[in-house]
Amino acid sequence: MAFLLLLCLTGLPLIFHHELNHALGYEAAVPDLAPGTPFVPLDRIAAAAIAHKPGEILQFLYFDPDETNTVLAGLSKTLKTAPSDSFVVLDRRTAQVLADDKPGAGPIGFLLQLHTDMFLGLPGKLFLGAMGLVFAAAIISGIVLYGPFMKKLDFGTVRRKRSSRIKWLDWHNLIGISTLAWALVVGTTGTVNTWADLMLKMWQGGQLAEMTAPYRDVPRPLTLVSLDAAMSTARTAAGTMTPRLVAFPGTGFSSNNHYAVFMAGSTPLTARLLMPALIDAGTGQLTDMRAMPWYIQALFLSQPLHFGDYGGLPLKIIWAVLDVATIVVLASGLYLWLVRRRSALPRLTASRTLTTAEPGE
Amino acid sequence: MTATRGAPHRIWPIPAMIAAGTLISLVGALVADGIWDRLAALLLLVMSLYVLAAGLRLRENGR
Repeated sequence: MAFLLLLCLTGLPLIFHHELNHALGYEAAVPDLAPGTPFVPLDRIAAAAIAHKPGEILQFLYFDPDETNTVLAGLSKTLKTAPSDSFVVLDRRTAQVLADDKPGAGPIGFLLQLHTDMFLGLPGKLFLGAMGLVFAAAIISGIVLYGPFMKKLDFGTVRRKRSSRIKWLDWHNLIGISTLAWALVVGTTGTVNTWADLMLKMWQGGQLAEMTAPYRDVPRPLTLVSLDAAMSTARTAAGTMTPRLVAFPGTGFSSNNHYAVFMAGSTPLTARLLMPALIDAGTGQLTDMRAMPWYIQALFLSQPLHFGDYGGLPLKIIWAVLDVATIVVLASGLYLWLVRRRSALPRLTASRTLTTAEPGE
Repeated sequence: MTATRGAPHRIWPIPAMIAAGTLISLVGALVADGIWDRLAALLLLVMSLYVLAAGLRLRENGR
């Protein structure tokens, strides 16, 4: 119960992470330029990111669909380090560095880490994932108990003139049964999110290994083909899709010999599903492009359904309302359990006293 | 609206409709954009207000 309350409380500000980061100065301020200002070549962006972080290696470039004038670069001391040591935000129109952050910086970064793994890494994530399953089980047991408790009452009855325990029992039942679909969706998608690292490893060892198998023993090219050329090849192959992320050769998301360009669809749903296009980093040729496996697609779809950040500010506000409602259900459940325990203890003690007293009487 | 012994009290149909409306809103906002996002948020808001009003309403028997 305490962990579920922690998840609901830390999750509340995270619904507005974008707005809060912006207000606290953790979002890059994008300069106003004339509309239609063209983007500079990506090779220049990559060079600017590397020049900004001497001694670090560029791992990936991420293109935010909501902020098309910027690109996020991830850099680290080694190619395989995950997560990256540094994030640099650059202007796509000027290659100017707009922000330079450590991942997870600021109060929202702190809350996010507390919410995702309690600063314990993978074990923390898996533990909280198990808590998500316990939450789902608690909801189902609540549905089972709702019928017997409500059999003589109308829907929505709150007996305010009865004891505090009865009043809170009625509110617990009413809010709990009304928010169960939302709570089940958020709870189960949260659990799926805690398996992200494992799913990624499964994909790397499965589909990605299969796609790059012909290159297993091929040495890394001495000179890499232009990033713009690789992107152009991926765009041509993917039709109407747009690039969301480019992983550089040698990182965990590609092979030693490939740029992996992750393309996203153009509809609200397919924009969340990525398709990797592998581009030979020596020749610039497309070598493979496939839809990602079902479990990765499920992970991509579970992320917006957990965070509630996919439908604009009105949906975020109602998401926060439902989160507060869940906090009320958890807190009232805890209160009811404590009151019941307190009232049961004297009865138990009295019955024990009676039992021990009987033989001597 | 008072409870009567043995009569149905809508303890299942209303929550079932709210659950269905919630799922429609969440999935609808995921697969569509623009006005559908706002409609989904509106439906969730209306259902939340209905539940709150049901809880705050004074019953005929003074409950």
